[in-house]
Order: sequence, then C-alpha cells, then structure tokens
Amino acid sequence: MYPVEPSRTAATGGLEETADDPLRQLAERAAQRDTEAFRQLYELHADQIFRHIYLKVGNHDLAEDLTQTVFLKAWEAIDRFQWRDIPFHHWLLKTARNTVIDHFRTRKPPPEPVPEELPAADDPEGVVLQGVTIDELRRAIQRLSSDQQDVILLRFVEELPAAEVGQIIGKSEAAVRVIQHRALAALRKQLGREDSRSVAPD
Amino acid sequence: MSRRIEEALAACLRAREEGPASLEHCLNQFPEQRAELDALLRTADSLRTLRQIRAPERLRHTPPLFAQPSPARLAPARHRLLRLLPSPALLRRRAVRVGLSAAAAFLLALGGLGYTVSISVDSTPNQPLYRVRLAWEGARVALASNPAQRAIVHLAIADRHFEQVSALCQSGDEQALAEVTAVYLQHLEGAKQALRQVEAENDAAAVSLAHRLRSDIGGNTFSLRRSCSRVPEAQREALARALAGTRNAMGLFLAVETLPRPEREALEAQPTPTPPRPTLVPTPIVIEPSNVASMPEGAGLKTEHGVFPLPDG
Repeated sequence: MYPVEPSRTAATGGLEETADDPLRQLAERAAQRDTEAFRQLYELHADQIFRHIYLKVGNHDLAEDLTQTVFLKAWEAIDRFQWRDIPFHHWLLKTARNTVIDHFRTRKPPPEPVPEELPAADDPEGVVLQGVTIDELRRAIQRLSSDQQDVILLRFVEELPAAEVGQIIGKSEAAVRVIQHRALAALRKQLGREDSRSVAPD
Repeated sequence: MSRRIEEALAACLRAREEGPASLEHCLNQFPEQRAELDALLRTADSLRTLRQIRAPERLRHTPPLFAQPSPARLAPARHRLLRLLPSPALLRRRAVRVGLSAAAAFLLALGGLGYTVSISVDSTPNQPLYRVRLAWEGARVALASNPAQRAIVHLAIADRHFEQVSALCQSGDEQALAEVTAVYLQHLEGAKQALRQVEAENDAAAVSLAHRLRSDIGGNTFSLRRSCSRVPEAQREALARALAGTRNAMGLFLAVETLPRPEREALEAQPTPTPPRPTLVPTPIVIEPSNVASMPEGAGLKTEHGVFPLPDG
C-alpha cells in the first residue's frame, strides 16, 4: 500500500485509501457489482478523470466522451478489480491513459488545439498563478510528448509521488524523475517564462 | 550535469512538500542550479492551478454511462427531458468510424468507381455494435441512482429505439424491426415499473414524473402512424405491438398524473370487462328446390353458419 499524502486526498473527496478506508470499501463493494458504490466512486473521481483527459485531448466534448468511456470500461471490468496494491484511482487513471492512447491510435492526431471555453473553473477569468492562464497551460502541455504529458499531469496536477506515477505509466521512478525534469523544462520554454521566472539569489 | 539537475529537482520537489524552509535549504544545496531549479519549481507550481478544472455538472453528478443524443437530432418536445441526461456521442462516432472504414474498403474493392454508402450512425440489430449498445443501455439503467431517474433513463433509451422503429418500419427487415420493437417495449415497461416505485414512495413526485414521461412519448403514436402508414404485412404485428405498448404506457402515465391514487387503484383492481360473446342462434335451414337447383353439384348449401353438403340425389 502506498503512503497517502494529504494532497492525494483532495482528489478523491477527502477519502483516504488505507486498508479499511471508505474508498477501499466502496471499491470492494463496487467489485461485487454494487451500483450505488460504483456511483459514489464515480462522483468522487469524475473530476479527476475528466481533468486528466481534457488536458490531454484539449477538447471538452471529447473529454466528456472519453471520461464516460473510462467509467464504462471500469464498470465492465469492476468485478475483476482487486485492491491488492493498486488503489482504485490508480486503476482509473491507468484506464484513462490507455483510453486516450487508444483514441489517438485509431484516429489522426488532433489538430493544433484552439482556445475553447473552459469547463467549469473557479476562476472565471481563467487567469492563474504567475500570469499564465489555464488555457495557455493546457496548450503548452499538449505540445509535450505523451510520456511527458502523463508525468506532468500525474505528478504536478494530481500530485502523485514519482513512484506511483511510474506504476501508472509503466516506468521506473528514476525514469519518471528524468521525464519530469525534461517536461518541466519544455513546459517552461513553451510558456516563455525562462527569463522572467528566474529568481536572482538574495 | 543533466543527471545532477534531475536529482536536484527531485530533491527540491520533495523538500517543497515539507515546507518553505526545507525548500530554501534544498535550493541552497545547489547554488549553481538554483536559478534553473527555481524556474522549474515555479512552473510546477503553476500546474497546480489546473486542478480548478472540473467536470461539467451534468457529468459530475450523474452516473457515467448516460448517453445523450445530439439535441439537433431530437424532436423539440423531447429536449426538456433529455437535457437532464448527459450523453456522449461516442458509440455513434465509433459506428461512423466503422462505417467509414467499411465504406473505404468497399470503394477500394470496386476500384474506386464512386459508389457511396449511406451509413446509419445508430447501430441496429444487424450491426456488430448493437450488442455494445444494449450492454451500454443496461449499464445506464443499472446505474440510475433512484427510481425516478431510472424511469427517465428507461424512457430516453426507449425513445432512441422508437426512432429506429419508425425508421425500420419501411425497411422490410422484419427481424430487425421485431427486435427493436421488443427493446422499445421493454424500456417502456421499465419506465412504468420505475414510475410505480416512485408512486409508492411519493405521490407528488410520481405525478410530476408521470407528466414528464407522458409529454415525452405523447407524439409517438401519431409519429408511428404517420411514418409507418403503409408497411408490409409481415411488419404490421410488430408495429401493432409498438402502438399498443405506447398507448398502454400513455394510459398509465395519464392515470398517475390525473387520477387520485386510491381511485386509480380501485379502477385497476376491477377485472377488465370482456365483451360478451355473441350468442349463435341457429338459423333454420330451408332447402328449397329453387335454391338447390341454382347451386353447382356437390357444392353444398351456404348459410351464415357454414357450408352444408347436400345429400346425394
């Protein structure tokens, strides 16, 4: 069982994934085809999975479709899900990753993303920290390689530890560290912030 | 150098989680890379703001498998109900993809003679995606969180099949029509049962739900009669079942909506009156010479009760 970090609990509605936690109980009930349990799991994870997919595909409608596909796949396979050392949200994120890969494998890569109305966000102006908008970030992320996107999203948006990210994307922790550095450097370059973000030593 | 910055970044990311003092301590350990590390950490920080992105309300608070047809495809009267149901057009898009691939292969096989294939985007019983569609619909119903929602889902699914009933009635595909009709009726029945469950818990909610359900299928019988006015004989039975099932559901929805429950239950408890069987009164058979003479030999005597053979001679 992975250690639970406070940041992770926010992604799952404050439910921690310890041996006898509510989330695990829900997942185990859902594995017995308990639809109410699965519905609760859905409500807890819908934001996370939608966000992950949306930031990869850059299209609101497609992200909705793929999010529902992820949960459809999850529902179809839920009776085969066993907790073991894989928390439910890892399983979902892995399914989401594979679903996006499958989607792009069977169709042409998406055109250059165009700005579109963002899904519900707390900040209506879309202006975020350091003068970078969510839309700018999203477009910059989409220019990264698939592995870099995964690491960026899982490591810094979902704030999973590097070891868990490695498990989800099938790479070692060391490889994740390398990718995260390259991804952040590429992202910084994309955002054109290399000069302004540098802080002179005191 | 590269290896070192990767490790320094990993170390400072860990330190950052422990607090500003730890982060500062970490950065001080790598004075040569401090500026770069700081920039990378700020970039990482900016990514946190992406957590503001939320799934749309309808996706977030509704079980995941509800498909919502494109509003443009729906009759206006159905928008109000279907707006409540989030829906991906994923299966349809998949069907289009499969159809386009098949069309491309077909055109290639014909040497590019310019044939075009009209592809239905809704899977029908003859298409491989139909089983997926039924499984999808079953899951949607199973995941409805309460009877009212289940009724709405049943009716939304029924509505999609109803569209296909209307489309198939002219096709001559008797088997497909029968199958689609059966699924349509099955979901109507599901909606009725779910409505009864709602009624058992809350009369007022049932009245409101019944009104909604009735509004949604209100035009179905008219639509069916209009689009299937001339159909092959073999298809009429399925259409008759579709019409009867629609009327039956309409009757229940209307009754729940308009009649007080005790009154309706009393009515339902009464046995269905059956029309009396007509009493057959034997008509005396009068054999008259003129009558016999006008008939061909061995043809018998025709009466309103049948043909009676005449004795030889």
